[in-house]
Amino acid sequence: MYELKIALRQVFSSKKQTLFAILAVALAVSVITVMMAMISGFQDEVVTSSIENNPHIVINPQDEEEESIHLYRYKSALISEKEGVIAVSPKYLGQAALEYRDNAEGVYLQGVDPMAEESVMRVSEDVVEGDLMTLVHTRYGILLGDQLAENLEVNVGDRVDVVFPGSQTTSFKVVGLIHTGTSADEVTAYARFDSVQDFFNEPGVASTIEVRVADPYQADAIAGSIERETGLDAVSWSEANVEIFSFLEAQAAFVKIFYFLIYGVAGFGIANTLITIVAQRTREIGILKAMGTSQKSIMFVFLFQSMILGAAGLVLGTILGYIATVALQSYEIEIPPETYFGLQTLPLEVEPLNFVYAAFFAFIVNILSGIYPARKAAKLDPVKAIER
Amino acid sequence: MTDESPVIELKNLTKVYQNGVEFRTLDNANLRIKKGEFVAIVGPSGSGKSTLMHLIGLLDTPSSGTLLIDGKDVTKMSDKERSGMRNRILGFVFQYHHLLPDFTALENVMMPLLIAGKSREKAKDVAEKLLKEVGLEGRMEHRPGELSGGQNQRVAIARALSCSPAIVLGDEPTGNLDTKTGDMIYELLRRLNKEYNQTFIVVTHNEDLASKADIIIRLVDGKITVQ
Ligand SMILES: Nc1ncnc2c1ncn2[C@@H]1O[C@H](COP(=O)(O)OP(=O)(O)O)[C@@H](O)[C@H]1O
Ligand SMILES: [Mg+2]
Repeated sequence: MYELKIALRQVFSSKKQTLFAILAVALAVSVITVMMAMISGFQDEVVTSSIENNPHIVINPQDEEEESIHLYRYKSALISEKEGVIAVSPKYLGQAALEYRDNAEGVYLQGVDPMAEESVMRVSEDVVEGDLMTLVHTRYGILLGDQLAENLEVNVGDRVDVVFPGSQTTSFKVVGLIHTGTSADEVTAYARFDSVQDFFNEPGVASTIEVRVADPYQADAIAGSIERETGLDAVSWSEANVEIFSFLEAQAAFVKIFYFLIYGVAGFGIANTLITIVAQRTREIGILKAMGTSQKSIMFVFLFQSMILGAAGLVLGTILGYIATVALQSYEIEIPPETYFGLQTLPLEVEPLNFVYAAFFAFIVNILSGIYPARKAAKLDPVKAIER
Repeated sequence: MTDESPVIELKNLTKVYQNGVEFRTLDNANLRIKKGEFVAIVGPSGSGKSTLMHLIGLLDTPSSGTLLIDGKDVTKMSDKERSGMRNRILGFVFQYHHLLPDFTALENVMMPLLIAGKSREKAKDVAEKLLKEVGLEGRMEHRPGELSGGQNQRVAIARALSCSPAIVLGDEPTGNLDTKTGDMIYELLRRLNKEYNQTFIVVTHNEDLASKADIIIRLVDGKITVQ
């Protein structure tokens, strides 16, 4: 492999070109690995938070006209028997107004069975004051979003009035505050299932049944089977967030164009370096040909040079990319609140496979950009090359 | 005895350059050179000496005519065959030494052997022997930049001989050296020619030297006359 020997010798003796070519590749690879870390971190976070902050399956009445689910106890029991289902929570949902002294706010009132709701939604994780379980023995207790409480200027222990046209205004005692970090904190209120049913004069019906499953990625399949068995409308978390997931897909496609452009720029950098090297080495190419080096071997000499530059560049690039990713992770970039599911910082994910991809494509780009200069070198007329 | 079959044969070999007007750099050259002969090529500047050397050295292709080396028509060969012949059968010494600047004298002499696929050990053995032969045993690890013109030219000769080529071509190999060094180089070439019975073709301006050759070829305006 004298071709490799010559390639190595020539690469190491053209220090300046070598340095710049390696830096071009390294920069491209590190930028791409950081971008990949951002994208996959962001996507993971969006998926995780939509799994955590939404019921895995929401069951609604079949028809548009029908507003509520009858026989919800029986249907809930049926659903909780299903394989993969770990918890079921029937709820009564309604909009009403909350009044406290001179303040009034519209609320989204959720009537829940505290135990069931806890096992489906893990509400307690967001309870910042008081306790969801107080509802078990407090018929007219209510938990408010912390923002809602602030707007009403109420504290835990105060009593608020729930008002709805046609309903009897009912007084509830504030037993806790909830903070999710999303805009829901301005409108959410939890009370007991039976109290809310009574308030809306709808005893014996539920507006929805929420389901938690063991494996969120089975939610689609389980939702389908629930629909078939109960005749109700079941929507999985991924179906409910379809816009977000199609946005993520569009984003992924868009980002690929960016990667392509970055690699393109790096590729031209390599090609340019090699063209310069070939021009500087013209006489030596002529000498090698006079000694009996074939066109094919001359091509290899320069392809090897591009591979050496590329390999050095991608090793340096992945190291720099890794360092930058870890540094950015600990820096915690703030993003505007309430953009997506209460993501507060931009999450970066160190995914080893991403580094492999970035390095692999960098290497391919390198070989491709080496082909033109290497062919040019191979086709040089030896007489002209030597007489230079 | 294969003495009668020529190692090089030119039949109506012609090289034409078209730069608006047709220019016959080599015009219908006919020539037979036998194994072991020492051939001197003389002629004024621009008469086509280098062109003839490049054609015989398989660095250039003729416009018409035939060139036989070892009885084989080389004008119809592929790049692979031609580069193989340049490597194994031909050795080239240029006017300026033309060594690879990033490699030591020893590595430069080893290079044709490595190109031929020989092992490093074998290449090193041969190269060391040849460098001793041209009087450079103390300079093997020097790079061309660290050697004088005469020393570099001797490295170039050792390199041209490394694959024991049947034909050694020298295009004014001493043109760039002082007379004393030049004479020494010619002595060396003549001695090697006698010793190894290789065919030597050397372009020179030194009539004194040319007169000692077996054959003198005169070139004037691309036309050959053999003496
Ligand atoms: N590539 C070329 N294009 C046009 N003319 C050329 C080219 N190469 C050589 N020549 C011409 O061919 C003639 C012979 O050149 P050359 O063989 O180098 O002569 P010499 O070596 O005897 O000095 C010169 O007149 C030169 O100008
Ligand atoms: Mg000349």
